[in-house]
Amino acid sequence: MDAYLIETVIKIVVILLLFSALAGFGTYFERKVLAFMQRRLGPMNVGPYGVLQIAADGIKLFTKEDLIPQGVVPAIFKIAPVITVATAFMAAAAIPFMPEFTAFGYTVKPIIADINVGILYVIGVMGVGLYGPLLGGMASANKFALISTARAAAVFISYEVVTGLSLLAPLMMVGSLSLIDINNFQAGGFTHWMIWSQPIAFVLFLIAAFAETGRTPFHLIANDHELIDGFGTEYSGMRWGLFFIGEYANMFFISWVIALVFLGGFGDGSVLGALALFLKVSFFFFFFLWTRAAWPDVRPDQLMMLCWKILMPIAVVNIVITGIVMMF
Amino acid sequence: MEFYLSLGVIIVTAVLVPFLFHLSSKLNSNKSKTQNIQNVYECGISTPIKDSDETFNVKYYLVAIIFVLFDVEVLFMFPWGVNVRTLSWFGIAEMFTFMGILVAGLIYIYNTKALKWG
Amino acid sequence: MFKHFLEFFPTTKQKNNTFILEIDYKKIDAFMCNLYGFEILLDISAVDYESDGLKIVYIFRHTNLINTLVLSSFLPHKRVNSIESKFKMASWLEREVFDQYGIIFLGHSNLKRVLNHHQFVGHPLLKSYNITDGQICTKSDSLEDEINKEVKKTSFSKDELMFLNLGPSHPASHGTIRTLVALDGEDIVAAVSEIGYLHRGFEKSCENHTYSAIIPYTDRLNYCSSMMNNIAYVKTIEEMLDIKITPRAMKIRVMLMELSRIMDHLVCLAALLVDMGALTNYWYLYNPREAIYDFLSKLTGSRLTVSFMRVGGMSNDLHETWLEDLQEALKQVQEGTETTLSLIKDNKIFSDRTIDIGVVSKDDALNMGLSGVNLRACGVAHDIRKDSPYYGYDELDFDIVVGEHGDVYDRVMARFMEIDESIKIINQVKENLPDGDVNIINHKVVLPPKQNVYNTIEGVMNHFKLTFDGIQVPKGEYYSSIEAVNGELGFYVVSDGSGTPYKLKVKAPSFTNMSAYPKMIIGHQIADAVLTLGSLNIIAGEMDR
Repeated sequence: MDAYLIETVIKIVVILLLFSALAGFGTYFERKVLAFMQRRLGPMNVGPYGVLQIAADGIKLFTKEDLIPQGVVPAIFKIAPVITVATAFMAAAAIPFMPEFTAFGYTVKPIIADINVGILYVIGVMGVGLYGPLLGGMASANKFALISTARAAAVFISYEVVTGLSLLAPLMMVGSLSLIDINNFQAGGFTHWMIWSQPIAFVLFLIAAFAETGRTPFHLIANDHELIDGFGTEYSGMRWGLFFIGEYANMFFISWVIALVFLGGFGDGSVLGALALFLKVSFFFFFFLWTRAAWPDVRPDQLMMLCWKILMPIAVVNIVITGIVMMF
Repeated sequence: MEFYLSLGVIIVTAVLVPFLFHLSSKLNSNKSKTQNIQNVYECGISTPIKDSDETFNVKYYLVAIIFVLFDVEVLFMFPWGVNVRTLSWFGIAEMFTFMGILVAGLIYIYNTKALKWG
Repeated sequence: MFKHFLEFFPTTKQKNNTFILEIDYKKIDAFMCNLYGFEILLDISAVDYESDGLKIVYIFRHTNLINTLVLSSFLPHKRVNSIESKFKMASWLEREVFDQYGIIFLGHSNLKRVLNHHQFVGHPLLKSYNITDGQICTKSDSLEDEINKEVKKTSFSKDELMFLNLGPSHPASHGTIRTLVALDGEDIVAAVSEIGYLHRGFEKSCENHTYSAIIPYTDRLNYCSSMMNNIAYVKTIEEMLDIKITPRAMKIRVMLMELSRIMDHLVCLAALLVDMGALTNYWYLYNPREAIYDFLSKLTGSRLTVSFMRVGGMSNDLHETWLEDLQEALKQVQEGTETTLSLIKDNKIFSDRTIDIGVVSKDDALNMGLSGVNLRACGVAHDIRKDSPYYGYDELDFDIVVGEHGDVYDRVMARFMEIDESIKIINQVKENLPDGDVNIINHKVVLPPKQNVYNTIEGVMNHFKLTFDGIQVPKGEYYSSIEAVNGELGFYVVSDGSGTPYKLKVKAPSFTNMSAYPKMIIGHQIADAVLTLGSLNIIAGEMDR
């Protein structure tokens, strides 16, 4: 039991540190990828190729004046960014980041808690993350933040339904909610990937992932050109930085879920499989940035229309078809 | 059942770590001297009409209510979805009836124009 | 055509296409009822003749789209009936005259200051107001009275609505423009705009500088295409002086004007697409603009505020490598616009966001004061380059771009197509650029060459006279305009025969475009309002003057 506890704590620390750092690197990648797509160089001055830009940004965020404006509700204002980050990291608990491996004669499972309802847990905890922007915006005493909050509530909860419905069809085929089972179901190799049998579910889930992470073309909640920084308008320094870490961590985790559920995950668990998983995750992270470079944003009502009038009916039909096909 | 323990540990850590980040703001003890920085931002206008506490028409509130219905229904589908093979045709028939009602509800919502904005 | 009009008003003077008429103040109302075909209002201004009183000036365009009428009248009681009900755009124009001169417009719905701060005391364009008398104003106007009036027109009560300031310091208010919106959810039910954040007393400064010294001030009007303002200004002065510039200068001006047009459209489109979240297009459109800037800095020595034109010609001839530089810039522009179009033309999100947003009907467009490309996007084929050609535009082969629906999509696409047309014009001009001097030989207008200044007594004297006394423009008043990027950019100049203008008024297209904006966004959402503002291409420097 003690050994288990120690192992868990080590894993948690590694994952928290890794993903906090990855969020930083995420911003660097985003700047670089966008820059290259936009025929410019991006950060170049701080360190070689601007890598130390992350450190510079970090120092700035950490040492900024802690500002709590007049009129805000201080307790809720302070707690909101914590919710965003905490839920993002909690979601990490049920994600198998790598296949099992043996190090120094000790078998390590790179998953914090192999829950049998893993995927449901991940979606659920990410859903709780909505409270971050919601409370942050409402406590801010700022009108832009308030509008952003209204948008956040509507968009997040609408796409929650699409996420659920689109995942249901693959889950029916697997017959389990554990992400490890889902991965093993596709262990047969390239042709067994879920994306081939559930292409519609894949597309639906991908669209929903963009909405849940609030990335362009659904970058509405903190749309700078309309709402300044939305719910984050009154935040500064590390409080604002926490929202940022949460957003990027979410992007990584959702990329992981897409790769695990639809693209075969780590396959049979070999080293090659683990490597392939990292590549797949990286691709989806890149895909988020790629879309941002290519597309404009939609309007909030258009986004809601897309969800309720197009994606939801398609998702329901997809489940019906899956069910009938499975019976034969 | 040990995973409950791990879950507990990560939940506690995940909440604690951001609080530690918060402490970083103590690194800078500077406080702005001016009063203006404390003002809530409204594009630089110091005399806004009403503040954010007052009535705001959240047009999407109907969506929130509809969402509660649909999300609960989707949740019901998960146990069925996982066991669809064992439940076989009986389960399919039952769930499709349930989904039929759901879709009928959706069509009803379209017709009442509850999902129409702007 | 104007026989009837001229018979009725025999005192009308004509210069080029401009009629100048002074009537008795009692006849203004009668004139406004009839209008004699001059049905398009361009501008309203006033002139302060100190002891002789205030004179109000209306500038109209005939429905033939060619002739302009400058109608003026002394107002002994400083009062005149508002023509707001007949011309929607007059609302802000009259407010400006009230603001600057203190003339009361009877029956105006909202007669308050528009350019100067609401705490400002006095009327700065009166000759009795000393130019150095600064005032410090600190408190922002809540605009509550104005928005309440607008809200009353709707079916909402004030308690149900949220009031939100979009601007002055907002990422999407290009420059510093403030719009106070009343929101029902995210839908805008009422809106009022406040401008003047960049007001720097351009017209007052002009009255205190010689004609040549005003040229750098005109740069700051529409700073995205400063060359255009230079040309509009010197063209007016040249026409007042009855000077004909050399053919080479004419063609170079055409070329630089079209280059400025391209530049300005690029900025507008880039900013608009960023407002939509389509970031990448910004660099695809800004990089070619950078190439044009490089060309301009080689030619003029500066990038943004060029101050290149002079009365009677321009500062210097084209530089040696101009042709290669120009071709390179145009090539980049073409590449940039093509790439951008390939990203947005068939994009569903783009068309969904822009189609049927900020619609202005054909009938409303002129009445609301839209001008230039914004007007043409509504379906009105009015382009001064075609209607009353100057600088040989009639010999060039180009089309004017006319839209259909007057929505954001039309305005965006019209700008893209105008860029193509401008490239067409430049290509024609650069092929057959006439040889010769760029400056006319007239020592009363153009500064002598430096060599003469240093070596001959005549040169020194001419230089001295021109610099200190300025160009002596004959007594009279005149209005002349060109087709600038955002619409008709006109200068109304009153000269008392000295080297400084007695009065100078800019007919700034952005000012009237902006006055239409609050009406255009009603019924749309915040996201649409941002795009509508971007598509109108409001340049605060020109609007606020």
